[in-house]
Amino acid sequence: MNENLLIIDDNPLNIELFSYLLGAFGYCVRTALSGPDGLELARNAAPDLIICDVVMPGMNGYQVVRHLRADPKLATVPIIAVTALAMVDDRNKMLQNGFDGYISKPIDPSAFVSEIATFLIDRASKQCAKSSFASKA
Amino acid sequence: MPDGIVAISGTIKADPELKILLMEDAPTDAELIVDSLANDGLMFRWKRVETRAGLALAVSDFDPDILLCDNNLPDIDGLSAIQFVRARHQHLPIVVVTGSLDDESAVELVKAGANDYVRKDRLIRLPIAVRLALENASQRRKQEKRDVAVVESELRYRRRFEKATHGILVANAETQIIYDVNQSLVDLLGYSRDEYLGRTLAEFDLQRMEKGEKLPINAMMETGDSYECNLPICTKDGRSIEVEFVAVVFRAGNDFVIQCNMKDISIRRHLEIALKSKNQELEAASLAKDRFLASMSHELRTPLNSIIGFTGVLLMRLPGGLTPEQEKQLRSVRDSAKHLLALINDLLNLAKIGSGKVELGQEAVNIKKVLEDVAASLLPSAIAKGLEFIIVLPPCDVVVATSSRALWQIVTNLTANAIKFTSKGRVSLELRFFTTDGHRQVEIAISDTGVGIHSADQDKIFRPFSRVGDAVTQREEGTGLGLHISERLASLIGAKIAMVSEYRKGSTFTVTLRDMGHL
Repeated sequence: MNENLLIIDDNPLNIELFSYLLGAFGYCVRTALSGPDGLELARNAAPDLIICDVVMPGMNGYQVVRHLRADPKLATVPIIAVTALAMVDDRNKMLQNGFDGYISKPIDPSAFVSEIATFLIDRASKQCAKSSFASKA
Repeated sequence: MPDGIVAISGTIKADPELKILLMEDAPTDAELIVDSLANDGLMFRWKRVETRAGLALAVSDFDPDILLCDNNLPDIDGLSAIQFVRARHQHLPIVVVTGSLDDESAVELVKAGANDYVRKDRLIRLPIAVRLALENASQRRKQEKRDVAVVESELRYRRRFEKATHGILVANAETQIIYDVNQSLVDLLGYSRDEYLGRTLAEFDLQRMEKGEKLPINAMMETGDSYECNLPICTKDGRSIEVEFVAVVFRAGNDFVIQCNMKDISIRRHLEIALKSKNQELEAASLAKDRFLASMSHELRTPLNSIIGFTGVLLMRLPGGLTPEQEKQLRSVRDSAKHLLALINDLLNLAKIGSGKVELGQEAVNIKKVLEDVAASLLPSAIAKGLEFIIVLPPCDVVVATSSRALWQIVTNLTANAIKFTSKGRVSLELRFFTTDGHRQVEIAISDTGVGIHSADQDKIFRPFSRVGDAVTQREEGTGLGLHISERLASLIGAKIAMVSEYRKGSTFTVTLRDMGHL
């Protein structure tokens, strides 16, 4: 445990909710209230997973994802869209634009925690497979 | 000798059509005349007269095909008789049959209108004279008919030509000199009729077709094919209009004639363009609506995230333990928030009725349970206003196949309205069911002692955004969509909402559910 999570959301109440909830489950949570702040934190803190809002003033979630993917150190970090955009095609649109997962707001707290945990486990097993492949090579 | 019918071989097969009138004062001469014709094979009915009065009567009543007229009669001479008949019957064939006739008199008679004359001592010539006179008359009648037909056809063409809504131009196909144009063409291109006549197609730039191609008149003369295209044409005042151009070449007498029809399709083009831009506007409006819905959905979900999220965190006891009462109240908050979320989803669904399909699942719904839920969530607001809140339920469960979400929303909307528009007295929620003719009917009645609705306003209230009264002062109280949504939802689940209301006394809304049968 104690994975590092980064939460980027322009709404302080959402930040408070997510960080409290995930902190209570033992994660180390960093938060940013804007896209640029989030990018800076991501570059400095190397998070294991990023939770990112989509509709934000200035830099939106799609732009944040593009910047993160452009950074070699952050290109493989799972980025989960947690957004109030919940019309029919929104999920597909996000998954096609670089997000690894999609959770719609309002969240169900216990379901949210287990979904985040699942993404982290997936990532860990992928990295494990990758490193064993690298050691064989 | 009587008037009679003469037939070949003495038998009468049918009433002969040929009618011969004899103007003859000597019965024996008449007999000779009839015999000479009958012997030649003519079949006819005949009548003999011998006075001016008899002649006048017979010409109109007997309606003869030919008159055989003697020259010397008791009260009239042959010339007068012919003039008399000609004045009434321009074309009745007249053959003068007379005892003696000098050339001068014969010329006089022919001038007066006799077709022929036969001397009685030469009666052998009579059948030929009769046949010739009849044949000439028949030819003339046919020709007249043809003439009438030609005139009529020309008139018809002329009428069509002039009345046509498209412009028509007729020209000689070889010289291309314009014979005629109709009024529509004058109106269309602005040149007067006189400006066209005698000039050539080339002078009006009417030979140059699509892509500079020339009007293929020679080919059209050979094949008889028509030529069609859409063409920009310059009007007299320099405007360019688009016409549908159809040319056809046909033979008229010794000449080839080309007829060009031109129909203004600029208006059609303009309409097409206008329609296209209207379509784009509508698409843009539809897109704007979709965007509005998406952003509304986003804005409503954002605060719900805090409400549902934090109550969830509290209920997970992450910040600490809860008393049973705290837990109960938090669950109420969370349930209401979830209902609100469902409402938002339904609203979006309703907004999409036009383009998509609203998905309302059908399930076995315990109506009593739905009403209890609604009552539980709305009771506090009724109490807060000091209202009596009554719920009347039957002892047994009432289960109907319907959508619980839709029904919950309808009953919630109606009950919330009842509380909202009642300042004192009571609000009641009642479930009734009964069987009529083997069909079970379920009614949910929501009654209040509130403001009621003016009879004049009663048919408006189900329309969207049609809150009765002053929109500005009541603005904060709701969206004005509640009743409309309820009615739309009701129609989606096959339910009906009826209303009885009296101004200042109160209203009763009744939801009638169609029972979908046993589950």
